[in-house]
Amino acid sequence: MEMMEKALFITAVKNLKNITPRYNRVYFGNEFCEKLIPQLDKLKEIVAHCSKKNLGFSLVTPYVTNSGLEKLEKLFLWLKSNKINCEVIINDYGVLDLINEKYHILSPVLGRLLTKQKRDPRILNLIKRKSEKYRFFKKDNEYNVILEKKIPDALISYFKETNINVPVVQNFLRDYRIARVEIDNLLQGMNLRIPKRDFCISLYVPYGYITTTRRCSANPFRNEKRFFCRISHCRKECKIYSLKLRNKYLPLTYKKGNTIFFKNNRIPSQKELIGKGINRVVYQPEIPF
Amino acid sequence: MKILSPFSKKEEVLPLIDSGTNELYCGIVPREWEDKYSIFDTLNRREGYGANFSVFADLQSAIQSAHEKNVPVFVTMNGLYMQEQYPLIQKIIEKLRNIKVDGLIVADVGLLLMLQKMKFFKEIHMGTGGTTFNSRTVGFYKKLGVSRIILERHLTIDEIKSISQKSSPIMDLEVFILNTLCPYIDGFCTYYHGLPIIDKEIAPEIKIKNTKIKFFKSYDVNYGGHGCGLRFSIQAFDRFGNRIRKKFVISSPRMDLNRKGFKSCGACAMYDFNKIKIKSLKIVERGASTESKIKDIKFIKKGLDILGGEKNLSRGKFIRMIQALYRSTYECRGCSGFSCYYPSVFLNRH
Repeated sequence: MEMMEKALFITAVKNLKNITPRYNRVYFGNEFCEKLIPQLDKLKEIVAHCSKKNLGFSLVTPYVTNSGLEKLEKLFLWLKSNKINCEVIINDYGVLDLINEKYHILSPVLGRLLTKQKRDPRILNLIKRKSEKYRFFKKDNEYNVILEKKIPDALISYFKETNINVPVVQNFLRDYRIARVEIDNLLQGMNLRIPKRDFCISLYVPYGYITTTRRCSANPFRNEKRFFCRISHCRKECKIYSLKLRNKYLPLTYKKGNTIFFKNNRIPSQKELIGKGINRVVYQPEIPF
Repeated sequence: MKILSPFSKKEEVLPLIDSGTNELYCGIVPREWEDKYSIFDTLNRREGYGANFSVFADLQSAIQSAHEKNVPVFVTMNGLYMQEQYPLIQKIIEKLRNIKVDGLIVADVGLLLMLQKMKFFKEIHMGTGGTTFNSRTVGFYKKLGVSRIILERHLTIDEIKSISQKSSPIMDLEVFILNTLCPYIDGFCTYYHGLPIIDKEIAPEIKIKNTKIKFFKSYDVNYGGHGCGLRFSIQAFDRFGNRIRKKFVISSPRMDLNRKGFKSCGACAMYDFNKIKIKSLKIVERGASTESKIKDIKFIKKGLDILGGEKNLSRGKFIRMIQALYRSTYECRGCSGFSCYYPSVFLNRH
């Protein structure tokens, strides 16, 4: 039986205490905001802990502006100068380009922002419909008769796909030294056709991201105009507040910081995972902010 | 700076060019694609019947009219594609080459790699789906054959300036200037767009006594339209997981961004874009009426005329002038922070 690696995603040094013997790797960092790129001293602490406990280490990086790129480069430089051969989870092609040009000691992994999956939780209801039916609605003095159609079969498959299934993309990833890709555990299931000999796959559980923004409204109570302004002063409210979002059209979703997540509590069995080529599960005990 | 305008009908081409647009873009969803994948936004990110061409001959005739006026036409293929779709995509691309499309607007790396091999088009534009936030990403796409980058609309003026200055080799940059300010990052948003609550009328309306009966088809009447347009009932929690306030409802960001009486706009930033040497200003909304498109082009054109008209025009004066023009053109009270593309212009952080 193939070995299933278990990784714990943490966003703060204090969460190192949550690492139990069941985990053999630590993910540390943030995917969604360059303001949450770890400080060098925090990175040093985590790396030291992983080395002491013989744990694998993956640095998680977000999409970045030029200023974020500079922050990341400081971390990469330290990793390189200390000959730390770790994984870097990439969510920005500029970061991938930088690592391939200057930091060959680091192993780039394609993050879940770049493995394009169809994550809208409403898709589940769409593809579940087995037959067409009529529905009637009355509005004022007007009746609407609506034929609810089944979606085309070709789309059912489409909704379970990722761009990593496309051979030309796989060739490109090989050229850019990517040997691992990260995906979310979609509510509607996944079609994966990724050659096991070339790529390993990590599955994030239980939270999958739906969307993200730089118009951050991490503080739900700050009802000011700058509330939606991406250049408003960040007080890292994302570290304090989390929201549950309810709407009748979709399952319960969660908002933390600038990102909305769904939760899928159904984790495939180890046999299922291995069958799909997944050999690492990344556990997020809390929403990764 | 050039004005890039959307169009969705061949009859629009000449009026839009006469209004001052320098470049045109559109989408096409051929019948063959629609039969297989329906109207879902799988071929490009603007769904619906009004926003796209469906017949190549119509598009060809539109392109011929535009070329007679020396105006290039770009076609958007900014979906994310799966392997089974590639043979049909390849066929569509070959047809687009045959009708002399000047370039494609893409988002999918797989499609970009395919186009790099084909060498069919002079220009390939990487859309906001390519999520370009830094100059390294610009260089990365350049190596893959991209000739123009459409910058992510969530960037500040400072960040755009930095990308422009540090990008090597130099790349043509395009920015959004009017309409449809999306609250989320286009290339990272996975809310599905392509599904209106009601899709299409399937039979003529009938009237029994005073009661009208309409017949539609839909894929899911509970779908709720665009995910970013949903309203949520919200519970908030503190860092320890304790509820911190009673349940409350907020409207979606999209509703706030596109409030009645306000139009998403970035025209105040034109002064800075001119200095940064942005190549093209993009007006969005392919599905809008021709009148609305003409009004938008004329507004931006007048903005460019203001920029070119006075030698030592100050930034403050330009902003005052363009805001007055915005109010008079769109008959609204004024600007709103909610619908502003580039609010950094007003916070003096540039």
